[in-house]
Amino acid sequence: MVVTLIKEAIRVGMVFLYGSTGETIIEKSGHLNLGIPGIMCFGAIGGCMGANLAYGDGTNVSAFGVILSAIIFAMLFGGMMGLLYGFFTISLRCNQNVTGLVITTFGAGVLGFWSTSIGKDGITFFKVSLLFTESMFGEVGNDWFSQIFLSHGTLVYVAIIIAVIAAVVLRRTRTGLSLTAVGENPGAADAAGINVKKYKYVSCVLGAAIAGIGGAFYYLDCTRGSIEPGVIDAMGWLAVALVIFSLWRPGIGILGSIVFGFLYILPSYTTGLGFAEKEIMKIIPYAVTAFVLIVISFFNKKETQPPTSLGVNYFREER
Amino acid sequence: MSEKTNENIIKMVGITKTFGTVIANKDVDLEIKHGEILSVLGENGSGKTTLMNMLAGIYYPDKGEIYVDGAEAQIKSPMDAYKYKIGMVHQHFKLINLFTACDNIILGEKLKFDSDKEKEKIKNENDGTAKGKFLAVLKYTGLPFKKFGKYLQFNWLRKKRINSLQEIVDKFGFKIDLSRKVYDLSVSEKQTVEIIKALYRGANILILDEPTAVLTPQEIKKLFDVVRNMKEHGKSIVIITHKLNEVMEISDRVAILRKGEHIATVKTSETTEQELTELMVGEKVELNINRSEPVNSVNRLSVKELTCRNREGLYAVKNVSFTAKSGEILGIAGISGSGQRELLESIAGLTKIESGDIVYYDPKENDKPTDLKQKNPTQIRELGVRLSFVPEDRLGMGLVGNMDLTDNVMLRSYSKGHSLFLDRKSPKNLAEHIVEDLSVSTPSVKTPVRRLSGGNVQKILVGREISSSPTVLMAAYPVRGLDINSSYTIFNLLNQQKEKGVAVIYVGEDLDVLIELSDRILVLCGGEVSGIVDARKIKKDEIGILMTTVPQEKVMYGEEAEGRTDE
Repeated sequence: MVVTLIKEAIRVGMVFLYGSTGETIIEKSGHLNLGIPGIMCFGAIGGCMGANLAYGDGTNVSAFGVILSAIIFAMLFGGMMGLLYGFFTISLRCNQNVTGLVITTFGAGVLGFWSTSIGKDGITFFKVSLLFTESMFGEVGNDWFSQIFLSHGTLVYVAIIIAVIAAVVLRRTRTGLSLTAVGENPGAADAAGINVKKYKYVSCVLGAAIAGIGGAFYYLDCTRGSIEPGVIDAMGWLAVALVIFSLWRPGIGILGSIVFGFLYILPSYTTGLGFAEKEIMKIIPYAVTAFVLIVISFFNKKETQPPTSLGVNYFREER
Repeated sequence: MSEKTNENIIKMVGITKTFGTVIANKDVDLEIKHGEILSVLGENGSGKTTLMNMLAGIYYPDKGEIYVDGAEAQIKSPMDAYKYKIGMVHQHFKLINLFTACDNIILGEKLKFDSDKEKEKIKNENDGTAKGKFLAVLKYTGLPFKKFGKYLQFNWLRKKRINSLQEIVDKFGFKIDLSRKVYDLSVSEKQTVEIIKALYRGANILILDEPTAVLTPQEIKKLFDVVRNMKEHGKSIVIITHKLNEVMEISDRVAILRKGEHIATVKTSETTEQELTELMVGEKVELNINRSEPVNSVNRLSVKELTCRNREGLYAVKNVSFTAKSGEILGIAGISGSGQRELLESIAGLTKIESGDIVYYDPKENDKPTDLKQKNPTQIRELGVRLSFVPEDRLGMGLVGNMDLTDNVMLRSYSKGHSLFLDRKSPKNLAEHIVEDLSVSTPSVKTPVRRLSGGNVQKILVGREISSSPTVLMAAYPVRGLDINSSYTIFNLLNQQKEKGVAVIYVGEDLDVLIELSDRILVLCGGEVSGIVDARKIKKDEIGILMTTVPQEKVMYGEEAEGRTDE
């Protein structure tokens, strides 16, 4: 029972991890992208389409090809929305919050429209999703170690690898140093000869692309191909909250995402709860995030604060 | 110094730059020679910084050409500027607080990987023995990984980096620990980091924008030593300033700008301060403050052992005691962030007091002592204690940028009306009065304040507080960023108030002005009073020492030290 719970927590948590790793990369460049839920919706559409395209009629299918195609399409769809967000906030210098919320609403709407129309055509993703839920390491034993660590689909491991790479790049390379500088003080970064616009665009597109995989992962792995609109954008908000929870560090985010995943599935695994209690339990991740916010503001350490120029658009010749 | 001393390293021809309808620079010609110290002198708003920003790649000129070493140069970004070996230390430091000094210096530098060179190096290290051959093979196989690492720009060889920087530090005689975080550094240390950064990038031309504005006299001396040292090493240095004594002290030549135009370039040895002033302002000006002796001074406000904390919860003001007298200007000196702001705010009732007393002697009631601690800000204001605080961004406190003059004046009086609707007539009259009296240049009283220039904004702010006939007038940095003429208008206003019997508290940055304007000067250091001195007898250096000396014998630790560097 406990093993199943942890296993499921890791699985659901990876949706948050994709979203929060992407959002962390974007926020490090000083852009608060509230469009993450919408971007994940687009990623879901792209991922499902990409997987189906490679799956074809189900003959001569290589699992690797299908998964790769799903990842590429999800990144493409998510990245497109990231590019749109970047164009609005970096080039046109629109308000970041408004732009982000527009993308969220847009994405949720498009996903709803898409899912009803494919429902009419009778397209299902159940068969293709089997390739995603199947363990990467083939058949594994029933002991707790293999169940928790080895029994997941490929995209779970991809999420962790991406988060680890992001953590290393952000903290250990000059690229990460420059990106942090852009988010802290774009004027200073500019004067130091960093191409601020390039960094912002790349991080917006790349972050959105990674978040996009999260959407695809949710429908192709967690729900086994059944498309239920309205869930993924709610999970997107939790991913944004996880960024704060993880103190803008993808490394901590890996752990945080599993905690969030645990809290997220806990109501459905607890027996004997009424509807009201279940709904209250769903609040816990948000409450935990609020608590973390209180704690970090209490310690007031400069290293745990959000990027200083988060939410502020940069224009070099401003007086 | 090289023999190229008399050749131009930079030549700017016909540079024009406009911002919207404002002309910042018009047809400016400027030459910088090898190994010289050039001062760019001008009032605020004369386009000094804009001109130099075009060399540093922050702005791009609308018209005109820039030649570096005789060849035309297109400087479109700070990167280009570094390519032409131009480095600039901006007035507001461009540093990332979160990073160490070292990280700030190497920021933006690209790591390069030259595989041919690396192969050559391995070949040379190979001594032909079996062991050497084996090592060479290992190194060859390692090359792609090394290349990949550089490509990813790995950044964890902290020690190696600091050592390479230490060379520059030693060469020019800086004193700084590069492994400290920038938020822990003092203002002058931050400036040092900026200078090292420019030198590390190989800058041959170093532009310093108002480098002395935030330093104590002692720190200025140290800076000038470093600047001379750099000149010895053949660097060309441009100093943007409006302080004449510094121009005379440090520079070889002076370029004077007025209203965006280049007026003249003169050799420092062939000119005088008076001549420079005339060139700068464009007319003969009398730069004297008529300081009168205080008459009928009585105690107006007395502060006893006041202690309060700043927003971060650190002690900002500790055990401060002083008395402000009527008909007298009390100057407050100190490095910025030494508790000036919190001190004034606690008197005005805006900051919570931790301990201590503030007693106000009410002239309307025969100097009856009133405890200000128990009053709220509105009541304190009604008593006649007025605060006009000009923050760095000018519009941050006191005025609302998007509102027009009338509405801003009304901010102080809207609560006085007795009807349901606002009384707009009397504030409008008052606004017109202020515009006329202080010669504020504005299209009308209906213009939003943010459209006015800094000087005019400050005139309105100070004018509004004065118009209510205060008994205590606290003016913090009222001339911040103002040109000479506007500054003297404000100084004269303060003097008029003093003659009317108002107790004026003036917080200023420029020690020369403080000494000329005030009757007594209170010096703050780290939130404590390090001395109250007679302005007529004290010398600038003595104040400078007080500004950096912690009172009494105790040593500064932890929170107090943090309080000092905190701005």
